[in-house]
Amino acid sequence: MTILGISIGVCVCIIMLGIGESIKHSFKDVYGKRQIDIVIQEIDQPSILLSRIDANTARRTRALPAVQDAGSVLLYIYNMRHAAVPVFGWEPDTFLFDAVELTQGRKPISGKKEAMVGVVLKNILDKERQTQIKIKGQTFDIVGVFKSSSPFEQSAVVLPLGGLQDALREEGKASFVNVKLKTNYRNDLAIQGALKELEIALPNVSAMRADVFVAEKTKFIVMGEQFSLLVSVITIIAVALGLANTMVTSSFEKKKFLSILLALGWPRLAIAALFVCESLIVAFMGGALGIFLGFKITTFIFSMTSIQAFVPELSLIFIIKIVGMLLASALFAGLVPAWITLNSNPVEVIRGE
Amino acid sequence: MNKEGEAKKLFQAVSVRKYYPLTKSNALCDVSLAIEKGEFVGIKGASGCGKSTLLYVLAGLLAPTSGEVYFQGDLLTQIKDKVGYRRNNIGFVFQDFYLYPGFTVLENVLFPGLYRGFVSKAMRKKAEALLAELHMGHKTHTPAQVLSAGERQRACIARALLNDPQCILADEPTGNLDSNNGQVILEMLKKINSEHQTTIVLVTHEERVSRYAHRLIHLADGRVEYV
Repeated sequence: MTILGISIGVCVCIIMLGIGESIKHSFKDVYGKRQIDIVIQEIDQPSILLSRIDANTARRTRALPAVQDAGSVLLYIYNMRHAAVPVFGWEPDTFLFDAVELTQGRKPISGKKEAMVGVVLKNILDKERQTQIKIKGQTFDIVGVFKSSSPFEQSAVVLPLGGLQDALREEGKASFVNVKLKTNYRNDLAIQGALKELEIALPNVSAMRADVFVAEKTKFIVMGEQFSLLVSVITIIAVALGLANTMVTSSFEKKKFLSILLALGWPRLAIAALFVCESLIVAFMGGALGIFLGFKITTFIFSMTSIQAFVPELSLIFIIKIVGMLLASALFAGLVPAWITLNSNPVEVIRGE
Repeated sequence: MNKEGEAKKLFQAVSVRKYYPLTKSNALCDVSLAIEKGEFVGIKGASGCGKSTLLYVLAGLLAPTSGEVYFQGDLLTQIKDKVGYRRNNIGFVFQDFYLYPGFTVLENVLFPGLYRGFVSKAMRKKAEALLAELHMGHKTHTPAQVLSAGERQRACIARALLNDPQCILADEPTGNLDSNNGQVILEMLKKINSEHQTTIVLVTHEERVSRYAHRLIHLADGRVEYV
């Protein structure tokens, strides 16, 4: 029962912290894996969905000496029957297409009503025997399936920029431009210099470092994470108290057993270590079960949402956070009965007084 | 104390008093006695006369309220490592056996050596040899809870002998046994005393212990009545 209780507590922590962590990491992956250094979007527009800039911004950006490549992206959320799906309009022949790997078919050709979809979305469409996608009344043939390092893209539709502009009736518009700098410009100083150049060359848009952009866009996740961390700490404290209660009860039950050990010449510290070990083993078993359950439940939660491709991430730091809190609580839970044992009189117990 | 002169003495109690504040009673009053190495001593007396208290005082599990207890000439209260003292010098045999259910006989016998978290091969062999000596060789891997009372007490004696103690303190070891098994246990303790030269201090009600013990100490109301 104690192990189950701990596992439920840990499971809650994993779900609460895991969801935010996974979304944040996935968002970071879009930029990190593509080596995007700078993002250009509309000035004073907090929502990336509502941001609109001139798609020619990318062409003008590419003209700057520090820039290796730049690609315009138009973003739209398409409401499928079960979930909302991100639709990307990517500027053809840019590095944006390099980070995805085609697993079936080919890339959509600019000027044709064609699309490619992420593997997760493809599976959903297959179940519904869909080979086309209808966006704002326009039908696009699915000509390719791709894999991406980013779960956002795994469940997304990708069209050539012109196709999406046409469907949305937003000719010449983009939501943002992703900028990749030349290798020798990929340092803090050079990025700052490139940002200044962009500010001068493109005074009507807002350019920011990709990591700052990601941090800003995931601000709500970070806030959510802090709340989740607080709830998780409270949960772990509850788990610790439950475990301590079990261990103290167990110490009363085992008092005679422990007193005999003292009479047999066991050092009190060795007996105290028994409690701590027992507590740690129980916490470890509960923790392992909780992590497993949390992982499965989070995956299930993700599968019920529009971000079906998300996989809860169990990063080392994340595991250390959970395990650290759990071990600290197990230590506390083991030390309480250990302290009681260290201060008990074995003769009274042996004689049943 | 003159150590040379007291070399033969394993225990010496001088004017020992033990007061229990909770019951406001003196369990031991001015008890003075000496127990020599290799002796088999029986401590007799009515229930509540202080027999077990005396045993626990000698074991260092209880501190006397006043008076002094010496072990091989060393003042017991000055021995800092009481646990080590017990582990290296004392073997306990209890009336209620206190074997751990769920563990085999061998595992129970090995408990005094398990405090390090492991037992050596030599210790395991020794435990097996002790069980064989006490005619328990065939029960080595039997769970403790399925043993008969007599077998349990033999397992307890093996456990008490594991660390080669100088002395076995036995608290009513035959109290939960029938007459035949009680006799077997007393005979075994006698054999251990004569073959291992292990000092035996045995607390009992039983009259027949006088057949095995070198001498008897009679306690009454916490005082040594006669030796």
